[in-house]
Amino acid sequence: MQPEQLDVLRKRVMAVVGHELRTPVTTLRGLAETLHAAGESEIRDEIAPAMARLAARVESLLDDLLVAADLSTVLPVGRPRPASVEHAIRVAWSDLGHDGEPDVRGDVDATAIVPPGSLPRMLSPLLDNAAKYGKAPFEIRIRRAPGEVTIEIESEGPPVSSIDVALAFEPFYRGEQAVTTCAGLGVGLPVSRTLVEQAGGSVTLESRDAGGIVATVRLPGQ
Amino acid sequence: MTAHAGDDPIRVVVVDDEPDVLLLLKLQLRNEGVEVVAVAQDGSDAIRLCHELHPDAVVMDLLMGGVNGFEAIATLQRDLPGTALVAYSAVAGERVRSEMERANVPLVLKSGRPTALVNALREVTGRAAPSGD
Repeated sequence: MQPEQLDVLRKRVMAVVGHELRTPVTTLRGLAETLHAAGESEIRDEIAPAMARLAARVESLLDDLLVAADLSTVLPVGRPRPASVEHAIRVAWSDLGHDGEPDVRGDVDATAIVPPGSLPRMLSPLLDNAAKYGKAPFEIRIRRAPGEVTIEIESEGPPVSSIDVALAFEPFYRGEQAVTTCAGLGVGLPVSRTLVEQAGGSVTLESRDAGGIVATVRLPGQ
Repeated sequence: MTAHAGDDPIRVVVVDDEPDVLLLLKLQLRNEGVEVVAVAQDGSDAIRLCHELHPDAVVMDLLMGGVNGFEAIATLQRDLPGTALVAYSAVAGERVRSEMERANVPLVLKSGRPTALVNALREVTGRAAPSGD
């Protein structure tokens, strides 16, 4: 990487870290000082859970940063083996904690040949993006072909700019809509792509003409 | 620190998409003698509450889903020009600074301590700071 590129990356990382960490940290400090001065127990009962939530958020953001600092640490180990795509979608969805159940259609009994335990991690950032920025219910289609399985996650929503689509897999990049609506460091999609490519597949994003986005993951299948 | 006896407290609506920030500001501003008459988590709720409650001032976060702070500030300046505004943001890059300067809205960086925000509220509402502040 050239020095100028490094400088751009450094500034991008610091801007994202500043934006995402400053609010929880300053709020934590304020709550701690208010807690110290609070005489009423009902105020303490309000403050303590808020502090725990904020600390958990900082912890999660720092974990993301550590992952982004060295993506190789998240690469799974073990020989590729068949994994149920539908099961992985449901596991990832459940771990994300979003409401409702995803609408999964098509070849729901298809399997992908991937390193053990990696499929939910590949799909989780794509499902999370659809849930955060798209309109529910979004649609997940599984298609099986000889030697390949394709997973499409399509969500309606506001138009996504070509710049956002082009840069979505760049570490620490956050689209305009993401920056104004949701916390995050912009490392989910880069981690997803690393895992998919390690398994011999590919992942792409395309904006829909009617607004929203389609994420397509192609993986080795049976 | 409390408001002087006999002073009407500054009545404010606080707008932020993060409930924990709203909780903190409610507690801190109350301790400073500022009355938080309502809180809102996005710009459209804030605009509705301002029409209903006619606060002296609004503390407005900028980066929010739905109607964001930039849009809400423009609407309030047009529809309720008597309502004072203070922008309250975690970070302030070039765009945020220039937009707020253009809108003539004071910008306060989020902080664990409320002093800067309270001072800005006093300034935009024309309330003198208590002596010794």
